[in-house]
This record gives sequence, C-alpha cells and structure tokens, in this order.
Amino acid sequence: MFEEYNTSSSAFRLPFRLPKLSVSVFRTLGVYFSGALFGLGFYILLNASLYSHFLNGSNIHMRFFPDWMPLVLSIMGMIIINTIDKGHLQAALSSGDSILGGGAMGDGSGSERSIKIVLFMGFALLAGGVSGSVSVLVLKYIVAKANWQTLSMGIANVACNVCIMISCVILWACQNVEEEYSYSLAL
Amino acid sequence: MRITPLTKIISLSTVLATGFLLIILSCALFHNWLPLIVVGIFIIAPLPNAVCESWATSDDFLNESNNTILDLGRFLTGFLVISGLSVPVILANNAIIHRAAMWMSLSGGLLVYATIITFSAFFHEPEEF
Repeated sequence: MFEEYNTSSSAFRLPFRLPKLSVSVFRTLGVYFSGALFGLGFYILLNASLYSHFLNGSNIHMRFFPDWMPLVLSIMGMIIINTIDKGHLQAALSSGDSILGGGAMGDGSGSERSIKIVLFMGFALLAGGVSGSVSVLVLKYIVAKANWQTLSMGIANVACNVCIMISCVILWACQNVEEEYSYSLAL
Repeated sequence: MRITPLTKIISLSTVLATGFLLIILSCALFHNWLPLIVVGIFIIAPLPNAVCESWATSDDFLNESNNTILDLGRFLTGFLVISGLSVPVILANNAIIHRAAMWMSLSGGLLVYATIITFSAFFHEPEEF
C-alpha cells in the first residue's frame, strides 16, 4: 500500500502531503500579508499615539514632529521602491558591475543610472525610518529616563517601522518571484 | 438536499442583519458611536479587489501592468481588513470604548465582511471565453 506514496513524489512516509502552492498563489498570499503587516505597523503607532493622548501619566507626549517622522520616511521609501518598473530594474542591475551603471565606456543610458539612484534613495529612506525610530526611542525616552509605560511608546515606534520595512521587503520579493511564472505561461 | 439560490440569499441576509445588529448594539448600549467606523471599513474592504480586477481585465491579457494593479488591490484589501480588526482593539485598549463593545463590533464586522465575501463567491459567474 505504500507504493503509491513512493511513486508520487511525497516527502513523507505517512499518507499526507503538503498542499502544492503554485507561484501565483504564493505571490497573492504574500501581497495580502504585506498589506496586513503594513496596517499592523500603522495601527501599532496609532495605538501608542492614542495612549499618549488619553491614558498617559507622564509629561512626555507624542508629537507629530519626532514621533511620526520615521513612519513618513518609511512610507516614502516604500512607495519609491515599489513603483520602480521591474523590467527596467533587471536590465539596469544586469548591465555591469559598476555601481553607477554603464561601465568605463560610459555607454550606460541615463535611465539605468537614475533607476539605481532612485532605488538607493528608496532603501536609504526605509533604513532611515528604522534608524530614525531607534534614535527617537533613545533620545526622547531612554535619555529622559522614562518609566516603562512611557517607554512603550518609543518601542511601539520602532516596532511600527520594522513592520513596515518587513512589509516592503515581502511586497518586493513577491513582485520579483513572478518573473519565471509569467515566462512559463508565455510559452 | 440542493441549496437553492433563494435559501442562500435569505441566510446571507440574515447573517448580514445579525452583523449590523451587533455593531449597532455595541454603539447604542454604551452611548458611544465610534465602533460604527468598523462598518464603514468592512464595507469598503472588498472594493479595492473588485475595482482593480475589472481595471486589470479591461486591458490585454497577461500585460505587465495587470499584475501590478492586482497587487495594489490585494495590498489595500489586506490593509483594510487589518484596519477593521485593529480599530476596535486600539479603541478599547485606550479605554475609549468598552471591552464588550470591542468584542461585539469585532464579531459584527467579521460577519458583515464574511457575508460580502461569500455573496460574491456564490454568485460569481465565471466569464466565458
């Protein structure tokens, strides 16, 4: 009775098998999950902000300027990274080792160079959001020796930006995984 | 026993009415109408997928931009569903609404969203080629 499981390419001895996830299903679920993670990050920060307004016992309050700026930077970076056209990006990244594209002859077109610069700016904004949230946590809450409840607002800021960074990475990976699949469909 | 479309419609509308009843009770029992936001979020939650799907299929089949538009719709759907779940939680977490109101509006919102999703799945006619 085990022959049929041996002949089929099941990884287990027991008669169950993993559901076969096609690439498009994986991609769809990944994009949903990315959106959910983005929302989670946003609402973590909103929760901290509401806490600061309604229940806060200390005199350290969340303001727009230091506390929401890392989120703004992260969202800007996410928009920039995910609006780059993937086909142009592949061409730009495979066209040489030089960081600014083209090579010694300078034959790289201006668009490849600008795509690399824009991509760099996007990742820099994303990383700037995370490091900005850490610096807000240190400078505004830890240096002021805030107690645990107040400190949680700064920690929520870091968690929010990390969530949005992971969400951006997942969205980016899911959009790039599609390439082989569409190729096989086109055949 | 074969489930007729009439049975489906009647049962789905009953569930939808129950969801609305739970949300409105969660607002009215505590004299705080903030949980009503959940209804709005869960009603517009299926919209991005529907709009982006019709937008993408109006173009050529397997165009490069199609997948981007579909992804945008899915991303917004994920964001809106998480919004509907987390708005009551953070409102209750900061003592703006009562805990019981949070549970009632959460379950009511999920019922409303599940009704909309099941309705579109039941009566979705696959297009003929």
